[in-house]
Amino acid sequence: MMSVKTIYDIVANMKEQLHVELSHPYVKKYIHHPRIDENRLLYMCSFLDTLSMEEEKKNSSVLSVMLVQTALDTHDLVSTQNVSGNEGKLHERQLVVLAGDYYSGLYYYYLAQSNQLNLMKVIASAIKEINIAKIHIYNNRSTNPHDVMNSFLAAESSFVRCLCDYFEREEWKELLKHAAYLNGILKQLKSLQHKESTLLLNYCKQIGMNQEQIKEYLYSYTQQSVNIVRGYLRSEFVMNEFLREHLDELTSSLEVLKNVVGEG
Amino acid sequence: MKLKMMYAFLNTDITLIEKELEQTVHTDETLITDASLHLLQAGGKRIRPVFVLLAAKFGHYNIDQIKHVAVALELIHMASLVHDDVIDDADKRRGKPTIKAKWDNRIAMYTGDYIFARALEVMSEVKDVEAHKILSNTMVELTLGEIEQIKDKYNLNQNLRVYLRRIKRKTALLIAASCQLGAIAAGAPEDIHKRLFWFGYYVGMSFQITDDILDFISSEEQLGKPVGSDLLQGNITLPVLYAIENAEFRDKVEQLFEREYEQELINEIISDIKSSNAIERSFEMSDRYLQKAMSILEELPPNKAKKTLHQIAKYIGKRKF
Repeated sequence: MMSVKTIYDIVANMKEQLHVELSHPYVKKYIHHPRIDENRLLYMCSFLDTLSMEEEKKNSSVLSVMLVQTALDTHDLVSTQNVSGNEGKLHERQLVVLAGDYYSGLYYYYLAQSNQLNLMKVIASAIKEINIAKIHIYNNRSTNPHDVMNSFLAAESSFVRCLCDYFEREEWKELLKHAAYLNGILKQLKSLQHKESTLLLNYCKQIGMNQEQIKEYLYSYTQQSVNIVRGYLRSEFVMNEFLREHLDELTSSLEVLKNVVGEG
Repeated sequence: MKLKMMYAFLNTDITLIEKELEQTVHTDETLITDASLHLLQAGGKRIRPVFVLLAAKFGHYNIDQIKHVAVALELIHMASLVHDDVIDDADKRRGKPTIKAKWDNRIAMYTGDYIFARALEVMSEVKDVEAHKILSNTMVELTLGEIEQIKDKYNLNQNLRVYLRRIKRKTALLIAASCQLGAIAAGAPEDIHKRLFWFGYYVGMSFQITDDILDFISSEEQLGKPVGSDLLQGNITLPVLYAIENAEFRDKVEQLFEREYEQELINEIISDIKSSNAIERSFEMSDRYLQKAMSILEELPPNKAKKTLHQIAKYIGKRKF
């Protein structure tokens, strides 16, 4: 296993590479550069670092997954509002659609170039699962909130789960699935705080939850995952220090915030 | 002869592809299945799968292997149509409501991404890495072509080279890939699949130019959308590029882009294009690409598929909608 500094460098290099790949000269003039989720990047790099495979293939695997993740995240930003007569808004929406399509194409391109066809299939299966889960959340206004959280878990963790399945690493799968899920919940809480809309928050609002109820709802679905991740941190499970610190911080911050809500 | 009659000898396999397409998009999430089938059952020429099957006749034709390429390419085409309708804010396709109109943009985005993922899952059954390099490159180019189209909208200062590069990326490369990948999946030798690529490329160029002409000379009923839709959306196609060589006409188009939607001006512009030599010159350009396609075809070994490709190419040049 590599040193903390090395995994830190790997993540930083990958982030830089992603920035380049995600920068289309025309698109970036009109729409915001997509946010790269560094936590997801850390999960992926940490996991792949434990595998004995060529560096080039590790690189293209992380790059491809992050590209397609960004593609799907970008498509979440496509607005549903009527923009007829507003050329500026329409232009922006057009580029959001195309930016996502472009990143998706790049995912396939890099895996084809590095001859990782089986991985391409695995990732395609995850994309399929994520979109089914998203439609489920988007359209499922009457079903119980528990089902919606299961779909959210699927949407947040499909890529890491599929990767771990592909490389047959069951122990990593459990850890990363819950870490990705908690990371997703934390992002929802931040969006809620900043009054940004997301698929899950929109669902909550549509079924009539207010701000506090949404927080409670989200926290009520974190405890099990927090316990699982904490269990890993207490065990002999080998992971790099960078990831260990991050997971410790992630679970702590959720617990602190939860207590604040409880008191409030 | 009708297009479907030309490849009637492939009917069994086309029916199989059609069934595979329906099965492939099926999922327990009924909304995704409904939205995908809505588009699938709206019809379409299925020209890409037909090219795959015909090109495969130049190798060892095994439908169980080739069907993966045919299904994947049609799904990729479908996924791009679903997203295109969001891009164009289009309410109708082939005379029926688009997915974004029947449901909404978000459902269209998720459905398109789902169909794209299914396409790649199916395509992963093809183990030839070269085939994947070609297809993945085509997909990136396809999107770059779409981005260019947005970039060049309302720009009357573009030249022929820019237009040709755009339609190459937007249309011709996927048809070229259909021909080449069909042959590769059937194990055809390199000189054959490369020729088929060029055949598909030239046919694709001709196809798109004809499409751009039909936008002006066809009827709303035949097009399934208003005549002159491309221009109304700011897309400068070949007939317009030729017509704006006339300064007076160029002024009218500039007025159209600057003002609010005026039906009278649109009708005048359409009429001007039709009565100028722009349509004729565009047909000539389309024809030049067709001739190139025919020349490539001459270099291929004789078989029934070759004859059919010849007929299809000819049909594409003469089609009315």
